[in-house]
Amino acid sequence: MADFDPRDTSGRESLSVRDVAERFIELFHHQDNPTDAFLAWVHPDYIQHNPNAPSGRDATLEVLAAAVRNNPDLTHDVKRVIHGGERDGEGMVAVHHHFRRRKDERGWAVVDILRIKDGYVVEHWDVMQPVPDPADTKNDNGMF
Amino acid sequence: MRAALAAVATLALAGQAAPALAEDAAKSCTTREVADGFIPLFYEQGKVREAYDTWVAEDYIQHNPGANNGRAAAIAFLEPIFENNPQHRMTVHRVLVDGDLIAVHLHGQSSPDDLGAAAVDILRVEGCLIVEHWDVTQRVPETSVNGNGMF
Repeated sequence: MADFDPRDTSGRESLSVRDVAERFIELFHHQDNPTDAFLAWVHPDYIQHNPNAPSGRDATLEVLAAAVRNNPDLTHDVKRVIHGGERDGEGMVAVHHHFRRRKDERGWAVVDILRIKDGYVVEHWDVMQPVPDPADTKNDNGMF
Repeated sequence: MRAALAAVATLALAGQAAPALAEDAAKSCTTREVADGFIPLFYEQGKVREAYDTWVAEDYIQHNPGANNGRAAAIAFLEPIFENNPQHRMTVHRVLVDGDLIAVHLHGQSSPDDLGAAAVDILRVEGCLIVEHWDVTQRVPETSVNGNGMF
């Protein structure tokens, strides 16, 4: 369990990029709660690079909240997090995770990259690839 | 320490580190040094064999489901892509370095007007060598809801 309250934004201006990343990831990826994650940590002018989602916090949240409503068992199983450091209150984090809408599907390998500035997630890129049938892979290591 | 200084001098003179012999795995490099050595050679210059022979462990663990384990298999997989198509190129958009991990967000294209694919490579470093690789790849679509592009 996290040793912080991921919904507590009261000290936002004193939080590091890493702190904000950890709070967002706790809510979004671990708790599968895009609404709390976005309302607490995402800037209203959030820049979206996922080609299937609109730009802006509220428009993106609408898409994500609908996905959770339609897929209540949706999970983001975090495999590794890469914190890219901080300069002048700004930095990036990459989250490598296994996204599944249902427990019984192979799902997708995903890397989310978030740019964080002055206590807010301000920009997002991602790459998604379907996890193949293990019978079709050339090594036995899995995608994670 | 003297050996390390000598290695730094060689690196400065030659613009790259010495080839990766087996004993290089025991040497110490920062993850940033490995990133700064491997990324220009492989992604920007497309020197597959030189990049892999210098910076990748022989028993490299591969998680790309379309490739076999090991450095030789990675070179065999990648080299034809460049040799068969001189127009193939990779553009690195951002690099994150943290502990023993490197993430590289890149755009691969078979020609300048190919929409190509977005990818993130994640590399794990031990000593002065890359020992493990994960990636996620997605074709860049023709249209985007937001018009911001994938990079």
